[in-house]
Amino acid sequence: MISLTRVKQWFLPVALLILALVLGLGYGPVDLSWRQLLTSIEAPGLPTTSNVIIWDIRLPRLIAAALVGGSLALAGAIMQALFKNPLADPYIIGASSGAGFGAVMVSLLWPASQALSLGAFLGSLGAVFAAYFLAQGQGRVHMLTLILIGYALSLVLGAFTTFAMLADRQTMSQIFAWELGGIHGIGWHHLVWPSVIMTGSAILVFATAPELNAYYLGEEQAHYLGVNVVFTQSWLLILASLLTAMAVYLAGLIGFVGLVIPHIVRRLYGSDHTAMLPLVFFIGAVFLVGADIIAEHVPSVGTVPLGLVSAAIGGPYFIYLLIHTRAVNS
Amino acid sequence: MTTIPLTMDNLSFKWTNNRSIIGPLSGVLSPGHITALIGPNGAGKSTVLRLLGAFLKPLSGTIRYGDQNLSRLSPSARARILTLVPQVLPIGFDLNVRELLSLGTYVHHSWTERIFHPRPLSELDNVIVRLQLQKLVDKPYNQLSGGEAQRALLGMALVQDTPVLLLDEPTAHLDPGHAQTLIAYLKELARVDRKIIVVAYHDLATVGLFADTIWLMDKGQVVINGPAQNILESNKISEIYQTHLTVTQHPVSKRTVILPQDNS
Repeated sequence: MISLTRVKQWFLPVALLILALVLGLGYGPVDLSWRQLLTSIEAPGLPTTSNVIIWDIRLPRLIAAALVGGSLALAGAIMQALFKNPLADPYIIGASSGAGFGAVMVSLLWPASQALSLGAFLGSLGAVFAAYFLAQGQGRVHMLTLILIGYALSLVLGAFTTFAMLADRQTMSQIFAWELGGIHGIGWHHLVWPSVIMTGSAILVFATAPELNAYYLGEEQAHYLGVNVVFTQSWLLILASLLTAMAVYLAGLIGFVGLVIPHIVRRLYGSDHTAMLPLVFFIGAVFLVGADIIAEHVPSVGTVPLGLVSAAIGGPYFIYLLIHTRAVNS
Repeated sequence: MTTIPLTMDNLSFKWTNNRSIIGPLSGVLSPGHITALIGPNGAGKSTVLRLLGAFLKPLSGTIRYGDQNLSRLSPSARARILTLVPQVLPIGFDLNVRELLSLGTYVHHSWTERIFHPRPLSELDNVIVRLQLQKLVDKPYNQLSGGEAQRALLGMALVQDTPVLLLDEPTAHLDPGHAQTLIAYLKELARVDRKIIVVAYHDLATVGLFADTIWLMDKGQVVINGPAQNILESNKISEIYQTHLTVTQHPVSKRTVILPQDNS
């Protein structure tokens, strides 16, 4: 069964996640006392204002933040191992520009539909799969070709998106707000399908951890080790795209979680995916819940987009990482 | 101890955007033998090796281990028969040597063992002792010297414990001392463990010291193959390498070695 050391490893991240969720419930633009929070936890059914704030506004938002953070971090870990590149992120093969393109298309073609995030989801998934099929050659998909095609596709889609935004300035502000990333106003009804798909995908990713370990050596060596590379790589790309697209659907574009969290976990707990993937999910969740608490109520500014907070924390760490990696490799 | 041979039958390969065809190759590789693929740069040695490793899909022909057709086997069944040791393997992550070696156990563990409770394999410790990796096990792979890295990669393949071992230029980046140690291991793996060993190799001077059989390749074709001595003494060598070479004997072992000409 699961070894004791592994359970011990989970203790801290899970405790932090619970702590962050409780903090998030108690803290926000509307001042609630801890007594009110306790009353709400004891009697969730009463139709009080604090109950509505805690159970229908803050809790779904925090759960969304946790799911988005966990999913992006997990998708990042997959991309980094598959592409043999510790600096890869979930958006690397065109997921973000695809999402932007999808969102713009929806707001141009069906301006009244309010389906911006659904368009983003479909665009994100579509871009990844387009890149995947274009990269197919000689019976298999080469990871480097996939990155290059994903990059080229990103530029093309980005150009289309900019063009469309310039042609219709009304959509511009809407898309811009979405690109900054935010989970404001998420209710329980938004969460049903994403939570099922995200936790389901996450469990399936955990089950593929040994194959991801083999991928540290690249696809050819993984093949010689006995991994079914054709299956593993399409399977993991599908799961990573689903996780990313779902995160985009709920929260827009949030950078740096997928890049930074797998690094922190590798540094703290080692590189073995069987141990590290659940921790990546939990710590990603903690990170984004924490970022959301800050984003919800910055003193004297008010609410700021979650993507900005994530970038403000993750960005400097990423720069530190780049400098550090260079120092090690030279 | 196994006596099952690896058989290539009419094996050929073609890159999609290239007109030239590799092969067709036919032949039998027997246990206890070291076969060296030699030939000028671009002759197709590495391609043949990757074809044998079933990483590249053949245009025609089959590879069989005994009566099993390798292309019909599952990836894990195939990886219990053969594996390939690459020339160099850059890894962008921090893995130590023990973590690298334990990747060789992938094929011997069930899914639940891999995820929850890796069963310790005695092979791992045996290999560490055999290749004298004791001092390196906790060292990051990325900080190893060329010789150490090559030994660690060979170790991973030995943990995988396959009857067929393919090696791509195993001594290309090694100084003579480390090269000699590695060759000694290969000889032992052939003589003692009765493995089928195939090596892509570029050094004419030393290939005769360990290879039992040589396949001489040029432009994707096997020009001649046979016992190492016969091939090295054939005039095809000078023809294919387009230079004059001196064929002589090692003063101690009397094995055939080839030296560059020296007229001065």
